[in-house]
Amino acid sequence: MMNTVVLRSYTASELFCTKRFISTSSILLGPKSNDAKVARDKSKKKELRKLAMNKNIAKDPAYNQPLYMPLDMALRYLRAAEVGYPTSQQTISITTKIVRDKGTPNLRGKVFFPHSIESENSKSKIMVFTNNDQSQIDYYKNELGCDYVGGQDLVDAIQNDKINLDEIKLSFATPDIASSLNKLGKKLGPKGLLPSTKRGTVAENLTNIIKENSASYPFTQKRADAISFPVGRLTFSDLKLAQNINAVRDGLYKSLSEQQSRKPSIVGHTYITSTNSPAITIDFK
Amino acid sequence: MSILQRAQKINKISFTTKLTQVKIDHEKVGKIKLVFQRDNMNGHMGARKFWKNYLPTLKFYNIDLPMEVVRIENKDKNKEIPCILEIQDKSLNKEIAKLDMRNLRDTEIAEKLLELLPHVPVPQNEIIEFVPKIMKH
Repeated sequence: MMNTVVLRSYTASELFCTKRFISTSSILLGPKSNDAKVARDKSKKKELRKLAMNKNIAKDPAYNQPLYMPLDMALRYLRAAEVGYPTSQQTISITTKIVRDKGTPNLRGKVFFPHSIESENSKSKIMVFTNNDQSQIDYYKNELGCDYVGGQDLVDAIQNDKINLDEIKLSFATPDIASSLNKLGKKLGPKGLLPSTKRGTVAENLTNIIKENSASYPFTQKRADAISFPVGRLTFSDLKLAQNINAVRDGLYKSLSEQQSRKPSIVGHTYITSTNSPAITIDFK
Repeated sequence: MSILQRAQKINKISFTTKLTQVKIDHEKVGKIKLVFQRDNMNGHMGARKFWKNYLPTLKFYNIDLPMEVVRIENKDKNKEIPCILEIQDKSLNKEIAKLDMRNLRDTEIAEKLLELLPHVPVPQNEIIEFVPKIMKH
């Protein structure tokens, strides 16, 4: 088979060298083409144009969007679309678009819902291990809404299977009893209920920790540049859903203010949807 | 789902389904209950289609009226499963009317239901048509 040589940008000595004519590496040794660089620049420009367009759309008010509706009307449509489906399936969620520059870190934070989004059947009880006096135990039970509070008696009750651990959502402990909980490791460990200093569930003053963990919903921005939050069920009133949506907005803007970047992300448009309904744009900013 | 598809779905609830654009008398009716099986066999398809096509519009214009759908799981063709529509009164104890939906099409069920229900048509100015806005970008 004959070798082919590209005759462009070669010096005279290169052209008249017989070795060069029979060499298959002559193309590789030749000057580099500009095509790759041009393509790279083109894609970079395209990316920048897309980002600028997304930023423009994000800054536009929600009422300019094609599927914009006031919240009460949107909820009326969602309630109509969900008619007849089991209440356990009727979860309402909102999705917010986040526009960010390249290299800006992901958003993460916590939302404190005023109305719990968990269904009545799901586990929701809180357990606290402490050797404190009766007044402190009453405080945990009445003020913080903990269901099981106790010391050695509570440890014995768990060992004798007198407490249904499937109903318990969170457990905490004070340092005075934490070391004696190791024997419960086999029962509490697999369910993620064993208090430990590493996880931040062992402390002298548990008030703030319990408040933060029991009512919070942690969120992180995924690759798709959008964040979804469940905000309630269709059995909630419009007012309760609006309050939960407000809580999401507070949590999101708080995490935006804490974002360590020269170019902070921009909150785009927000859609409200339920399991079987179309997504509708609402005013969120 | 595209914007147009979503707009179509929204309009199907409030605008394009004309037959069940009615306001039910809330003083007389307390609840509407449908019972049918999950599978189409033995004439249950019309009931399922009525739930999908006409009930959302009825709910949209009567948002405070409770509507319940009970779908029974059954794979046995020889087993008899009820396929009924019940209209209950305000106290939810008395049954005002009952409709057997077996072997009826969804449109036939909607027409027969309107004969049984005390209702008035929704005024033309209260019917909501959703027109998506055109984006500038």
